[in-house]
Amino acid sequence: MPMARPRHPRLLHRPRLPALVLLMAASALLGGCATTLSPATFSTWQIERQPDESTVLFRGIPVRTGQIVASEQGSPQSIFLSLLVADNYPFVHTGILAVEDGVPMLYEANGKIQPALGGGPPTRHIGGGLRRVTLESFLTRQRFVAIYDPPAGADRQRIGRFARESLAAGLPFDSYFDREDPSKVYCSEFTALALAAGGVSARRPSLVNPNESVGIVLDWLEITTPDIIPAGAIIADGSRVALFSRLHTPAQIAAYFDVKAELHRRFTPDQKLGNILRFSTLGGLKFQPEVQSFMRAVNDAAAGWDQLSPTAMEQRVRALAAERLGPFDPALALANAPDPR
Amino acid sequence: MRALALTVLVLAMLPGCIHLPDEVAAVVKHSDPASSNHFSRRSAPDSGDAHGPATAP
Repeated sequence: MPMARPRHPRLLHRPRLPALVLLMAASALLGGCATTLSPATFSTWQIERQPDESTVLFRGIPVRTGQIVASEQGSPQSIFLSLLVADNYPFVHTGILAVEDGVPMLYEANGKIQPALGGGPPTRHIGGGLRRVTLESFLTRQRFVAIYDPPAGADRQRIGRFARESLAAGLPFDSYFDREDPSKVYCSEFTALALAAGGVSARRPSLVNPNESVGIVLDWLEITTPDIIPAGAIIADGSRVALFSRLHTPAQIAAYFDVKAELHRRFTPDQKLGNILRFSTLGGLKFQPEVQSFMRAVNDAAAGWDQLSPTAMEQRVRALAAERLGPFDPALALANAPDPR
Repeated sequence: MRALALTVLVLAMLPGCIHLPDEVAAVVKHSDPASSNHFSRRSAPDSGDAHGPATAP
């Protein structure tokens, strides 16, 4: 079922210039009032691994070269990307951590849509590539971030070396998600290659979503890969070291990933992407109002879900989905789906 | 006139000015009716109100 593949967030996303101008103005006014990286300024600052001789404590976080950083913004672009893949996983972005002179640096493949004249799909106008940022700046910019140790047996120094060499080589971003061509990489492909350099392999890639509307979009984007390495598959065999969010509690983070799972569950092959997301030339990619309402309702309710078990939380999310999006019976949906013939 | 031409040029260069082919627009710009949409509130089976309130568990 070879089809196309996705790209990174901004595919269908139009930069919000007024918001950018406001942000720049606010930054200029606030000057040194940048977010301080400390537990006091984060709603979630969860350290789950004890430091040892192999780690460096950075603001209390036990970091070491070769760790994997996973993140998600929870934006329409995040959901769009995750719906391109058949399997649902938490997180849509990964990179590799390397501790350099005591400072944790993140190496990541980052796509940037370029201004361009002429037509064609946005995949033709995406530049960018490997870049290196401080973990500190990354943590303050992302909505949900987790750090994972790579699977046991990984040669962490080799993973770090691969990341540095990839940056030095100027590895460009792969907007076509073609993992057969390692001369260009997308984020999880780069992370998987780094892990492979360290002697461990990520789980197998996931097939692209068989959903008909996904196929139409991928065809337009000229993405022809049959499968994609999901960010979540990269960390599936790792062990979590830490979890962070400036604005969301641990329960809200877990609830967000349950929301994502519910959207996936309801996104049967006959459903349009436009049922979840709406695209406009001026407004870019946004959630449909009912989906937005569902996500907000879950986030609000989850503020009081700290004591809930994962199963209870999933049930609450499904109940809110039924309330906001309508009841959903997978068996009935399958029976009512149009015959593809 | 020059200003207009410049504006058009700048707008054309904005990444957001994406022209969607009809078949793509059909699946990303429009949603299905509630009766076949798993993300839109539907009425109870016998209420006859396609956009009526959902029954919250």
